Amino acid sequence: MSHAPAVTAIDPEVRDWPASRRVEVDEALSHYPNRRSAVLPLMWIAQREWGWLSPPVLRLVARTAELPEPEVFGIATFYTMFNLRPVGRHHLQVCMTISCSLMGADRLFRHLERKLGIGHGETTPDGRFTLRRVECLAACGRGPCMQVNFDYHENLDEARVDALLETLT
Amino acid sequence: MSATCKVTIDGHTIEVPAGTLLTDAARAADVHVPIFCSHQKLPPLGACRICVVEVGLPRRGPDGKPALDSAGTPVVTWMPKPQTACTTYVADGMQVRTTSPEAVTARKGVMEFLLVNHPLDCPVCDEGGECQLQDLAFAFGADFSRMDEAKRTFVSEDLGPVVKKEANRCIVCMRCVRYCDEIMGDDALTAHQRGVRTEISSFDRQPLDCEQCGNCIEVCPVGALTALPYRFKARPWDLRQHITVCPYCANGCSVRLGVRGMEILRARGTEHRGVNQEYLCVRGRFGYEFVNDAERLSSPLVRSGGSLTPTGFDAAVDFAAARLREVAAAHGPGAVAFLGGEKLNLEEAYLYQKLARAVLGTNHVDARTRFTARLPGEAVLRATGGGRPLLSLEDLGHAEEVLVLGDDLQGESPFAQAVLVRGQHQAGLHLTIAHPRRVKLARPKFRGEWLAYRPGSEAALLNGLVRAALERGTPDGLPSDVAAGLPALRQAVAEWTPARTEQATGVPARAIEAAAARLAQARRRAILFGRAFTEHPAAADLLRGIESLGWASGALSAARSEVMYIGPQHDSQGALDMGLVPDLLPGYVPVGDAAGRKPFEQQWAATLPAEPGLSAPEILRAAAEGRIRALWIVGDEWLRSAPDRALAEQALAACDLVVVSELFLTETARRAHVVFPVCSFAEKEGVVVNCERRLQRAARAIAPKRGTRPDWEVFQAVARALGVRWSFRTAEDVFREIARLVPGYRGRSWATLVPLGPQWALEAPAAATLGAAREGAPPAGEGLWLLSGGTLFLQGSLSHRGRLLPKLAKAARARLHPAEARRLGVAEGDAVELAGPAGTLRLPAALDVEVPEGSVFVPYAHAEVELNRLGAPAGAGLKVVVRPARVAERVGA
Amino acid sequence: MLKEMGQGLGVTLQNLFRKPFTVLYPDEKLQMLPRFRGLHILTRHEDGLERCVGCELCAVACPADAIFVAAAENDPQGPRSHGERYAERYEINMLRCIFCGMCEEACPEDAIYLEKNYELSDYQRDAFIYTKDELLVPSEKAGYLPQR
Repeated sequence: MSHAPAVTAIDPEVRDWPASRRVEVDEALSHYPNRRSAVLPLMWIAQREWGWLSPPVLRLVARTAELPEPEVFGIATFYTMFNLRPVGRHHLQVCMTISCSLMGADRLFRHLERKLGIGHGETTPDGRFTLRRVECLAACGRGPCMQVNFDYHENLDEARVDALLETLT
Repeated sequence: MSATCKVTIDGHTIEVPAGTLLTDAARAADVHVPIFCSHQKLPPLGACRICVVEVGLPRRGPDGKPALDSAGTPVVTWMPKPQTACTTYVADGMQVRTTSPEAVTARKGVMEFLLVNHPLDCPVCDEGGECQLQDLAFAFGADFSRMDEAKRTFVSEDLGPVVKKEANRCIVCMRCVRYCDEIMGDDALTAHQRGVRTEISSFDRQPLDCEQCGNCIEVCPVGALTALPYRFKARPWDLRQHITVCPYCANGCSVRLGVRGMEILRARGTEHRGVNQEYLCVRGRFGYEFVNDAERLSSPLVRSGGSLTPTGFDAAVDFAAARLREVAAAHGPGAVAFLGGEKLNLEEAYLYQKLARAVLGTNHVDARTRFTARLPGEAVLRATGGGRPLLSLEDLGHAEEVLVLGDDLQGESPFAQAVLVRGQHQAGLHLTIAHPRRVKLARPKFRGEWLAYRPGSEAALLNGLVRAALERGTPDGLPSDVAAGLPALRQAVAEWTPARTEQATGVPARAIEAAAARLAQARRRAILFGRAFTEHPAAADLLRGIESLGWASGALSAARSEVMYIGPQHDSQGALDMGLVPDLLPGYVPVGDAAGRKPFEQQWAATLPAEPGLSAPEILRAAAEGRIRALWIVGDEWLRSAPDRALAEQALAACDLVVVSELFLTETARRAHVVFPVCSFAEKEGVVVNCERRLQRAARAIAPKRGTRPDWEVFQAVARALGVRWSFRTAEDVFREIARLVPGYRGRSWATLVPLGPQWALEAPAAATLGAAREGAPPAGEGLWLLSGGTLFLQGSLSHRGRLLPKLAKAARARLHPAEARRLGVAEGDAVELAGPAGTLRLPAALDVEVPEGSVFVPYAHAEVELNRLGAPAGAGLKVVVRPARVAERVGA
Repeated sequence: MLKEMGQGLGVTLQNLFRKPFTVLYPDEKLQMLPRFRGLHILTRHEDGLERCVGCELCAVACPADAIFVAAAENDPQGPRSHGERYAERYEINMLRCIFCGMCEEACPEDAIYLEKNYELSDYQRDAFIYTKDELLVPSEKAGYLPQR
């Protein structure tokens, strides 16, 4: 599945889930004996909806899960896959762990930095790409590997990456 | 499984109860096991690993008996790895080694890890000198570091006006997070990130949204959290530390004042000391600033030619005495009245009423600083079990069911609130909060029941609860007079069916029945009440209702009392015990009781008036009408706290003599004829009695500010000038007289009151009075019901003097339910005008779903809120008309 | 007996022509030995900021209780020392000081040294409480540390 989180300025006054996400939220809550257990699925839903977890969104999650707000903030920072800042339409996550690294991930990452003009954790001004180093993506047999949003691209080199970037608009 | 276990720690064998943690067992055996993350009030976590020890258990043979070696001693199987003592529970026959090479090496290793990223900024760090990490690094650590990589660093941040965070120093013991969560119930702190990047902070690094108690700073074993008000003020070795009793609420917490020179620089709790131990609320921790204030009075003032002029102490005493004598001679002793005294020490309260009764012959004494009606002192005693042994604040945390009647503990009694939060969190305590507003403890996260009764329906609520409790049967252990009175009580409350109560109070019938059932069924329970009930116009009735509820639910029994009165000031209980009420002598002896009066008359060598005196509101009226000509007001901004501002002004103007004992030249003091500058709590010794009726001796931390004296010296000087021969040299002398004379206090001595005195009880408890509570008349007039209450950050005029507390309290706001605000056309921050029968008050509005519709909540403790300008309450309360202020202005927060 | 007198006068005469041990203070001043301990100085970093951070270890180490320090927080715009803390007041009571050098030894910042100045005399007792401006070396001596 491929979700393209929109990099739009988020409404800072997020107060409630949009009607379109209600079903998902209720579904997530229904899986657990208490609401607090659903905090991670709720954050996923929120990230799918808004692209990143802004403080108002985290407050909404806290209200929904009946958890203290600081605790929800702590949870969101604990996991690396929750975006606490806005990300581009295409979130490029380059695996830097040993297999990919041996196969040239560092070179690939430097290439991306040069090509996009951004560093780790940064977003291109047009909001198209966000570049990030990540740890093992469990594609050690086919490194270097890069995850773009939720899709894996394996056995990459500079040329393949360039070709890939062309297709991501 | 045996109830106790024999454990051998470093060769010391001790017997401790099963379920004891090894750290506690080691403390009992006097063996030092270092700890960081473990805390006596928090469940074990095992985060820091510094407490690692070697643990072994006796090997058991096939028969289940301990295997013996050839010498006949049990064989010990040592666990292959060291264990954390703070998470290991003792077992019978357990062997522990804390100083073996294994344990020492392990501890050194843990220490090295803790220090990997810890900065070497001890000289700058405020914790330096009292830092557990520093001490333990000195004791167990290596003197060099193998770490030559750069340390991970964080940016330091101010988490609000109280807490300074320096995350580099943090060892992630999680004490602050857990304390905030489990004891304060605030959840303001959390761990961000993970692993080596873990950092304690707030939601989105915002200033902490919490009670600002600073307990996170207190429990931090390193310098990661330090107090901004104390920042770089001193090093621990500069400070003389004196443990005394906090001068704010009735919980009677021990505060450890750190004094450098003549200045109090900080206040802290102390582990294993006092009722509160390490806990302090924001007032206790930061409310000492007034002591150092430069505006303190330093010379007695006497009115001459229209203005107050400084004068010598003796001249002021002579002036006051001469005028008192004149007034008493011209208008009779009934023309003299004595007000205030809740904030006095026990000895001073005693001398104050002795001055009134034995020297001037008047029973017009009333200790209260804030009053609306007569305080029935005897009814308070009876409602709390008639002097039977009372449960303690610690017991409160072990109760199964706690009913809080009408008090917002956050403002009135923060430590009791912390005890309840902890009990709820850790021991399955259930809370029932009866309060018109959704106060902190009534919030859903504490999983209690909120009985949101309509203001003014207190009596109905009590009657309904009594009836529902009686439905559950007759409790055991009732004294015979109560057992005999129960049928009549049953009859008196028969009409208060749950349905009828629901109609009268707005509390669902089911909730009333459930609350009564929980109270009646709990093995240990507690009922708390405070000034919402004692300051009610129908207080005597309501207190009888509370007493009836106590007997009906089993909270009161022949042997003990589980009903606690939380007075408004730190020595309200002591003032009550010492007879600073118009109708009782010390020890709850009615003034009309000739036999009871006798020992006092003998000791005091005086004939005491037998007619009960006037209570504070009556004194106010009598003074305004010229029937009382001389007033002595102690430690109280009376003009601001009397129920009717205009009447109070009139009273002060009409009196021939107004004597004020104060720390500052308050508005009331400005209108006095004589002002005596007196000592603050930190400058005098004496006993205070908290809400558990516990006697504690408050120590003197600093010398009296130049020109000030303890209140009792002023009373004695005036009494002597009036011709009596009092010769108390110290407050202890006064206490000796109390201990000879006053029931409940007999035989006590100062020496037994430190560090923690006993809770007093009467040998012969007062007889019970059962009955239904009667409804007070609803307040006259139109408008919204004015709800008022204490705030956490302020209490009394002294708390306005500091810089920090008023800043934390922010500006007062008139809180309205959003629906109510919509009806009035008021938005958040709009200025509104509250109009009472006598005047108006203008405040910014705040929308608050926790305030019930049909009412407006205004905190009374703010300096800018003078509720008594609105007029005195009529009937059961006060109604005010709220409207948007004429000019459409927005008042800033 | 004459012999003894002669011997005695001989000693006198011998010493009469010896170079005197005393110096003509204050016209002439002695060179102090390297380890002599006189009046304290408070040193500066190379950048001119004070080395002292007001930690008060000198005060607690002082066996004569002669040192008083009150710290304060640096203004980030114009800091007085490296770090967050500096000594707002630093006073040594030279009437109490026993010149033991424990303060120097305790100082974690190399901020205090006992230097060679021994000319400590005045007309008022108050003047012997040396304040920070008297102790702190002038900015020209930024970076100066005595050799030990």
